[in-house]
Amino acid sequence: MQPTVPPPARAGHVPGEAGVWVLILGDIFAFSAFFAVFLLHRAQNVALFSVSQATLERGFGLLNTALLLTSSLFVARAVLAARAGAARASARLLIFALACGGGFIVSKAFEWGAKIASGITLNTNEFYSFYYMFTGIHLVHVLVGMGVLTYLLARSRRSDPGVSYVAVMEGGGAFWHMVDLIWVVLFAVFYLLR
Amino acid sequence: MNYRAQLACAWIGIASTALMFVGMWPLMHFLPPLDPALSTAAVAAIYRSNATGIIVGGLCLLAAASGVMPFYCALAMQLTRMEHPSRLWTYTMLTSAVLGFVPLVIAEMLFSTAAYRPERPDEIIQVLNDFGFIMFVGPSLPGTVQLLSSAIPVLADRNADPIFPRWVGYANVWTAILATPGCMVTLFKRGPFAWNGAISFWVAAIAFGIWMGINFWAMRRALLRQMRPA
Repeated sequence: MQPTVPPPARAGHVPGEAGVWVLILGDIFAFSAFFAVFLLHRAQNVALFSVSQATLERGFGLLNTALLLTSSLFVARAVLAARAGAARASARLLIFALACGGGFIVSKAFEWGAKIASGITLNTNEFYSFYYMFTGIHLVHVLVGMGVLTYLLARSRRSDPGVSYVAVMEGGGAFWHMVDLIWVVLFAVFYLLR
Repeated sequence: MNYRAQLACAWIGIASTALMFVGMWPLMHFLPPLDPALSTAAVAAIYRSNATGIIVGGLCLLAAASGVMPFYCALAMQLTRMEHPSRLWTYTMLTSAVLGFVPLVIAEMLFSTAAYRPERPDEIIQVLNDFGFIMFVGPSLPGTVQLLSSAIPVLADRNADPIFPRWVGYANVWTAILATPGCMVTLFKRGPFAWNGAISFWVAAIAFGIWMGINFWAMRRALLRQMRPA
């Protein structure tokens, strides 16, 4: 009877590569600090922040959240397809994810445009300074994330995506989920917090 | 190769960063930076009471800005090893590092000009102070380019034994993001995005310090490996 060799214990799998998590967790840490600064300023002037918050369009905020969550679903499915070796399916899913990201930018343009048209700008009061700056910094992250997704799309369309393909998809996908996660918290803190 | 000289340049960069701190804090009393919301008279009074400290602290800033240049060149030596035979990101890193530190030198001269004749009318001193701090904190975008171009060669390194660990590249991207919001200072006179603000000044300054520390460590590690007899 042949001795059976026990299968090696499955080593903990880190999606992407370990290094990319320095950036992702670092960014989450930075935004946590930003939100702490916001909440400290809010605590000093709750009345002003509440009155200003009431003027934000929750519909836009909800639409933005839905767009990003949907795009994250497409990205997650694209990563699954990549793991299964279906790079073409990944490419198709990434196009849908990018379309949702584009929709987010268009919706943000309308939301800001309406605010500016009604005379509310960066220095109207402290709340709106935070609102424009934080949503603006997040928007820069969306743009960077769409750049990452475009790179993933290009990789998926190559005839030979390369040995690092799945890790690149996982790492890029994780970055996009972070952009999504930060928006969800931002939505809660700016549009919903009472 | 002059590995020992490169290592010395890396240390000069650390010493210069410490000198920047000495100039800003005990000499100029600009740490934390003066509040942009201070009254004209209050700003002028600060320059009148500490004119010599501001000028000597300014000289420290000048020396520090000059002293970090060898640090960047030593870093460039490692970046060329990563992206060999290209020099694209090495050149980008070096030119944007210079562009990023020129405003610091100009800011120092503006502070010194205000302190040079502190008997001038309050308004003139305030203009020089505003211009100085806007120069000091505002031009963050060359820094963003410099930090990003120090990340790309690390992440694109194709050497079998990478020169820097890959996480250093991602950390450099992170510091680039954190250093960016400083460019908005001219829009605010108070709050976290003003020139003394939590986000535009403190987060950016700490990010730069973290970048210096991590890249010094990685550079020293790479140099010690190069010095080791094969």
